[in-house]
Amino acid sequence: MPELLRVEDDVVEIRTRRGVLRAVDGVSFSIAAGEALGLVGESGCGKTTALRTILGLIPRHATVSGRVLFEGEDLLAKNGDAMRRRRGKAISMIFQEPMTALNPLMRAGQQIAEAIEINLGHGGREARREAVDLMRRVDIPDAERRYRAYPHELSGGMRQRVMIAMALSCHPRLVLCDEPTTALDVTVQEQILNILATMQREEGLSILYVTHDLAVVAELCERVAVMYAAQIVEIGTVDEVFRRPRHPYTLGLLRSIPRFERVQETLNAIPGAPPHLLAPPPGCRFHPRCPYVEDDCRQGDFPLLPIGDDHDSACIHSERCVEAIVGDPVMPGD
Amino acid sequence: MTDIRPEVATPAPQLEVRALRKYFPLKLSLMARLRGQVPETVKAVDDVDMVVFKGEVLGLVGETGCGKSTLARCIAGLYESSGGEIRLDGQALSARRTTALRRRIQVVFQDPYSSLNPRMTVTQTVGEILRVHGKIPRKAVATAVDEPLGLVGFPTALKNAYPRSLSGGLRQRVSIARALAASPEILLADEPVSALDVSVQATILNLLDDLRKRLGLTILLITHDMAVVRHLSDRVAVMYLGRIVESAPSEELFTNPRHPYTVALLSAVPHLEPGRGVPPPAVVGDPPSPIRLPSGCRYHPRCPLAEEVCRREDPPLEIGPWHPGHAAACHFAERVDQLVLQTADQRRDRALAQQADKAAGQEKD
Repeated sequence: MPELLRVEDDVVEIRTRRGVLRAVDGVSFSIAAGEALGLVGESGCGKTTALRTILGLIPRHATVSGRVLFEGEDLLAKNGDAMRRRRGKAISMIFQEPMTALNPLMRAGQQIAEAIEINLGHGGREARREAVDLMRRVDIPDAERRYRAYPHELSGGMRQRVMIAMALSCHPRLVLCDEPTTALDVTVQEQILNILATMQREEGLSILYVTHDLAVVAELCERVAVMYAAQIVEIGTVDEVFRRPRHPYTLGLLRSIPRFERVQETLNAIPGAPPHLLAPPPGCRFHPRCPYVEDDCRQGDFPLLPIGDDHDSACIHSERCVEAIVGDPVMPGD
Repeated sequence: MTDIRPEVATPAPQLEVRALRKYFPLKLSLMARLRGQVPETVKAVDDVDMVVFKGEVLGLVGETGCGKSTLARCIAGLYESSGGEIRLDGQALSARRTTALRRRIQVVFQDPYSSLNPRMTVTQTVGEILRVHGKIPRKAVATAVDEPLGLVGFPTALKNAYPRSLSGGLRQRVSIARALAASPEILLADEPVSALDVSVQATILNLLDDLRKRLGLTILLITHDMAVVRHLSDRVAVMYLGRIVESAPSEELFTNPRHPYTVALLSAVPHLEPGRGVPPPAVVGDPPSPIRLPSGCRYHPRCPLAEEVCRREDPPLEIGPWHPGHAAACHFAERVDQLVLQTADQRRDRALAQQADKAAGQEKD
């Protein structure tokens, strides 16, 4: 499949009172047309900032370097107007909290119609008809009536559907999702994931899905990138990374999650906590928590290295993960 | 209402909740009051019966707004209930409790960032409870806090720190130590890990499991995370719109659900095992508002098994023939296993179709 988006050496530095903080530190990945990539990591690891740089949605006191190539064009080199034309049209975004992302003073349907009028230049009546149509497609029951509802009159799931309808209104090729189901219940989450999966299948939409929930990635995405302390530590197909992880952080994370499908005696917790980004540890950032740490982990740089077909890891002792999985598979039945 | 004890010969429950209600009246505007409108009420907890046995972990699950936290707050005495009763070892509890009664039930809240006083050190936070409930003199507190802090594995070198300099995992340990400082018999844990980082959640879950084993604590674990519940609980109660719709020993509930809502909830849980694809939704729509409850069974507007009788009659929570400790509130509980099979079939078909789609897509390229 042709490549749609390529992010190269993305670095975001934020000036704070206590020094310069690298929220994203040399992140590179690519997404093919029609592909869903999951970007997973814990809170504060920089995954949301990495996602936002793609659309240039970063705070004013931050500086960005690197390249964001969308169909070969560098989006970071574009000025505000050119960027705005891209936003919402070729690339759109679904935020985590629809209540804060929607305008509370404007009817839900009108917000979708407005996006259609501005981005596609359609007339008012036509835009309205298309908005109602879109609302039906994202499974909003009684769409005609809900068009006139204000955001506060809708439930969380309905609001998120309005957000999705708006994001899809201009036939984007890439949708950036920032934890769109984190605030929702599991039964509603399942419905939202279904809408996204259907759009991906039927319209060849590419998805970049940021979340801390590895199980959601396992269901929705073909590929996954694991972030730790502002860097990507492992990337590859979901099947490879989840069944044969080659970074101790990924392995630790997969082993620490209580599994719904099997009962474990005790959970294998990762000791310690993620580091603060103002003073990350030298060397491999995971080394203070790593069970396989050796002297050469404590200094130097740890770039992603290819270790298999479409599978890269930043760990220089990744064979230790292979040994750890022998006889104790990550997925039952492997 | 039927008794929901797991076995006939088991001892009396430690905590007993009978027909508990908690209604919140909604505020009316001045005009509405002048017009003589009757205020509507949110029925957050509506006729809940529940028992908890000594030393067990009871998982209380349900979606946002189902009333699980309100129920916990009534049990903890943070809310005064609107009706029904709560008994601890046979003794009725009201919201106005003596210090001695309050000591016996302690709460761990969800968010350790907002539930700890930012202006108190760890020693002060835990020590306050020791002074009130343990009758420990002020001078001895500084050393006495080492015991509860040790129980939760909090490094005592950090005991004079303020919450702001602690990580989320350490803060939650302080919050658990504070609850344990009162030597409670029952610990109410309201979403104890959902505000924590994924890599830290496991340590807190292991800690709760360990405390239960070492101290013989009874834990009421309130969460929306089915995997967490399955991992920790001996028994599980499922709540929907203010009512318990099913309760059973943990493995029994997960392998043999008898309420259509439980089936929907279980099948919506995403699995970590890759290759399954996104399953078709097992339930449509959102839960209705707890202000205007549906007639009859509250689940009937979303239920695939609903018939006429479900719209008319509210089914009671009754023990079925499947297991002596397994109660479900469904008119057609005996048909639910068919629904489970159907859901599994749909899921398999969908996964196969998705694989075929992908294979076809790859051939085209």
